[in-house]
Amino acid sequence: MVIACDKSGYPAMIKYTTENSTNHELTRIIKVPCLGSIKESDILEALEGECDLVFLVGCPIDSCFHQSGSRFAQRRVNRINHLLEEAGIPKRAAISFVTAEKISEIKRTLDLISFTPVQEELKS
Amino acid sequence: MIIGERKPIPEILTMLGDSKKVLVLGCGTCVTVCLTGGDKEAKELASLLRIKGYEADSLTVERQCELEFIYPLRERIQSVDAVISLACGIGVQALFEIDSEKNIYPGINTTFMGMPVKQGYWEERCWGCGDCIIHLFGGTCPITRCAKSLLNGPCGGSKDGKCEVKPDRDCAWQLIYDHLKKLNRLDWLLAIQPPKDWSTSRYGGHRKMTREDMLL
Amino acid sequence: MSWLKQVLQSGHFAVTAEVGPPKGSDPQVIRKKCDLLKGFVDAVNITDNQTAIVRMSSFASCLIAKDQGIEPVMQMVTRDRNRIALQSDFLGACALGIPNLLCLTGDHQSMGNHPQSKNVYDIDSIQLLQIFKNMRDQKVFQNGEEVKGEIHVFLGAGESPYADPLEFRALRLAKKIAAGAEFIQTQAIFDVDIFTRWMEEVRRLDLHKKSFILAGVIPVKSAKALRYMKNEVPGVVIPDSLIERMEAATDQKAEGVEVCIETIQKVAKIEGVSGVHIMAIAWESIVPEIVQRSGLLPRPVKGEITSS
Repeated sequence: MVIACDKSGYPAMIKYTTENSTNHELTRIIKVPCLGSIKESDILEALEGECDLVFLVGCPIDSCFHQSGSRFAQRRVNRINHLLEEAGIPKRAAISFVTAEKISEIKRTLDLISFTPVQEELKS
Repeated sequence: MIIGERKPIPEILTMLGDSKKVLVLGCGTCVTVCLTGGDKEAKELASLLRIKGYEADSLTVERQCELEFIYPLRERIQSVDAVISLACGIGVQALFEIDSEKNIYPGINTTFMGMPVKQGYWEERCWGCGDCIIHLFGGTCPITRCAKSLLNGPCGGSKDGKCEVKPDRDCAWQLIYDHLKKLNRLDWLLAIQPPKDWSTSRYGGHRKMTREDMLL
Repeated sequence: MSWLKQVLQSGHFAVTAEVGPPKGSDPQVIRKKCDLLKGFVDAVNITDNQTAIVRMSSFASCLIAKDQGIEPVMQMVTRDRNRIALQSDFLGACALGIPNLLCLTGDHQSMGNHPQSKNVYDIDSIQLLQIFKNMRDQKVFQNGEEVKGEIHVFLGAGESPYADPLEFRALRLAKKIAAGAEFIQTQAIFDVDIFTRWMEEVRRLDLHKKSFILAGVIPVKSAKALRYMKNEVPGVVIPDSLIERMEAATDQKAEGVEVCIETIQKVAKIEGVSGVHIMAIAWESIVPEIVQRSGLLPRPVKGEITSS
């Protein structure tokens, strides 16, 4: 599941999915005003379903439209991942900081995830 | 307030064993403030347990240590296989008083009485000796903050004002000395403090308090 | 009657050393160390689970030392025993003729080999001194009840001239002496200048007249050991020049002995210093050489000094 902020994340994801033929999961994008509005419990709720990866896409930390949203989102993603790891759950949250033009981060993050044990577990 | 740290999740999972229906009980007072067992944390743990395959739900009350707040939970507790309480040890024991047969597990390790020195960092401040003498030491409690609970001055082991036992902690006696020096009351440190009467502390045995005028 | 007390009261420059008991039950370990030191020291301290590492008790070791013909100084820390046990051991020590007692707080158990243990610290070293002094002089226990029987003991304490807060160190010593300390053994001296300044403060408060001050020294085997002490041991100040000197030496062990002897000779000249305490832990065999080359022989023997 992808959660993207409507300032940078959403336009970037649209651009990415148009330019790259990709699996259908990345086209399921939830638009939010700012990544800072996403609580840890929201991410966990998303992971309770069939979804194995919650992918947050938003403004770069220093140019978040709402100032600290991206920064808080990063901290929350880190915290959730620690909890998931501690509980032995092979699901994760990931976060990418992009602008409408600079979308290379998306590919970089997805590539990183695909090499982690998480993806291996998800594949099997 | 009372500080506690969440038990490692593998330990909680071991406690739960093959329980199916689990209730995660949060507490709205101390453990909320120290970000360990409040509503947010209870919801998160319940969510994690659901992902692990348990039928888990969460609920938070004002204070788990007061029977009138937890008594209404009796039926709910009876309907599940196990309860993970994120309250301090007091709250956990209170739950046993309203349902002594249910599997009630402590989800946190209660540690100390302390305060948030800054966000995300708490330090012990009071040990509950039952005979408070903070005013004699310029506002720093030597029983709690000195690793050896010394009453007559520093042990000589501090380095750069930090305790030799806990090098990231201030030497309590350095704090006391600095403060009394500022107040020009170093003479208070010259008097020999007699041996402490520990009978009012936990060493005297299990403690209680009664307010006769408030008994019904 | 404490021989150490007699030596100090007669104006002799006293020499004491330290012996670490074994991490086992063999009394021969103590006897051998005592034999090494006999004739070279006036009394021997036997440590009490130093650095919270379990060893044969100071009490038992002192008895072995006494039987071996050397005067013991029993050390008691408040970390492991409450006032009940400490007063009880005190009576036992008096009954068995252990004449000297050093009262210490003791290192926290987290530093030792049983860090999971509970500590006691029911009282601190100053309260302990006061309790023992009152048992001896007022013949009362800490609770005011009468103590029966004869009590003869020479009470001592430790002090570090270098520990923080520096300005408070001499005042804390005054407190210890007021509480009952009759002799003081200091933490190891490597920086004689700081020690000299501390002694000035001590003299200003007349503390050298109220108590006998023995300067502590440690012979070091290597520059590495010095650096370890500088970084890891609190209450010890080591000038960089000393470390450089050790590093430059061809035989660091011999240089360490040389440094120790020089320190002894320097502190012996300071007014108010009544003796030296040589802490050659795990190197007790070097003590005779140090004592001899420092010019501290011969040691006084019984008969030379009449007790007052």
